[in-house]
Amino acid sequence: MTDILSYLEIPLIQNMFIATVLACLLCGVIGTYVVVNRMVAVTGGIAHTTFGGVGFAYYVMSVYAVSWMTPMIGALLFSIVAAAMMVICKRIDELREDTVIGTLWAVGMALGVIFMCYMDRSVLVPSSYESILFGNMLLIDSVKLRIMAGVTAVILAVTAFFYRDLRIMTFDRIHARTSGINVTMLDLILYILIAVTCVMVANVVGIIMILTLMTIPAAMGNLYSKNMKGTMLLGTFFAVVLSMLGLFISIAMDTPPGATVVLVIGAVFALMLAMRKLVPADAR
Amino acid sequence: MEPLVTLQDVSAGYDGSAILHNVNLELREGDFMAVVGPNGGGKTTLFRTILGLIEPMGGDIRVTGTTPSKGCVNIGYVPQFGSFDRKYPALAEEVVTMGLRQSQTFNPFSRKDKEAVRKAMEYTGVDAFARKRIGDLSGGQMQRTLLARALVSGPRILLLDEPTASLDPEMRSGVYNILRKASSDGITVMMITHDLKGAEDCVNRIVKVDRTVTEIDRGPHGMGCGGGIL
Repeated sequence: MTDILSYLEIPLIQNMFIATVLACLLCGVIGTYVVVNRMVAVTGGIAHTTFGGVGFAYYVMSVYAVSWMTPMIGALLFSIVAAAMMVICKRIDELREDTVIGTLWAVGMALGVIFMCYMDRSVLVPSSYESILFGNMLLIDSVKLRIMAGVTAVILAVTAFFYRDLRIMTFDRIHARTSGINVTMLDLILYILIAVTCVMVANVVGIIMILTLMTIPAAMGNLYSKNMKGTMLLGTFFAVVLSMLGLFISIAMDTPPGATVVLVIGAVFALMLAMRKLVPADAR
Repeated sequence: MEPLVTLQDVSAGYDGSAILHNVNLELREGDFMAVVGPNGGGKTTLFRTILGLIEPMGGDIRVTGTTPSKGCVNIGYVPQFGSFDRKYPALAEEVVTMGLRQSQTFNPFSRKDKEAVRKAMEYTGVDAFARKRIGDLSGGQMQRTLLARALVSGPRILLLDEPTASLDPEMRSGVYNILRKASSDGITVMMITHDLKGAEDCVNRIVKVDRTVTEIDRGPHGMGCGGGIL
């Protein structure tokens, strides 16, 4: 135990814990919209297009020496464009949403591979595919952490600002339209919030495992809460507690932190569902 | 007095193909109109056109003297309750607050808002189960909740899409009691229904929608709906 606590004095480990808490805050709040609005596939699609953005950033940085185009900026750019394209395509009757999601998902990944193939590796050594796709929390430096904190604050403020309209729209789109809410604009805002959240969460668990943090804690909250705010609060609580547990286990067992966090959350969710099946509703 | 809703030679549909043709209809203040007709005849399309959710392909439509997209703020719309995700995390009273129309950003509910919600819940009987999660409501309770949401903003018109479908006779009678009360309080009602018998003592006009809209004479003996309206 003393050994584990001594790890907490290492700045990179501290960054890892703080970044995880920030990601959990976002997942508790934005993840609730993803779950109640059945947007898990949308989130998966957006999350995977960020790989294209990471590849694009490495290409531009190495070939054109554009230093500000960091992988996080590239990922933000691609995810926001993907989010906007999904909203636009939703308005086109000929296209089904899942077709658009699947297309952007695959094209985003393919672009990432191609950009990283053509980047100049003599100028810049990129992160490994493994750490981009599955996350490497030990790469979170203090600059990245400050950006994450700032972006988290902005996302939470925007969500609070549109909270009531978002609730009306996610419950009943037709009622939202007849109430004078600009549903397309609000959709765009929600998709962009999801896109930016995906990029922040990717720092912690990598692109592939974003979905776990974006869906399971909010789904857990939805099991035990009667309303939206309760779902968000409980979702955040479950995300923080289980992620911390996952991180401590990863330190103790020397396993990859992102994957450990995901497995802990998945296992507890399975346990909760099993308990609900075994315990009758009126006895809970 | 100008009718609340006027449709003149309106054609409407989806993807360039008209479902409704040359519809002429006036909904006047105080009307309690039943909209009947076969499935696919265009009843929901008619409602969507009035609500401004679809643009008419031809003709002219006015809602409270303006375009449907502006006039729909005077309409309380009650969709079919079966179309909702019952796992959505919301209490009955929270669904009612969703009907408040003013800008919803940041500011908490004003005292006036809270009073309007309380009144709408009392009016519809939602106050008895206000703190229940919507997933735990019966069909009748959910329908009352949606009615309260539609009424909370004080609309001039109520548009209801089969408000009593899948309800047992007792629940149906509860919904009709609320509608009767709303009508006597001056709200104009237009309701898609397959239950003309149950609505008999509420309704004062019946229109049949089947590609176009035809007004049906109730006749001297009430509905006169035994033969083939539906």
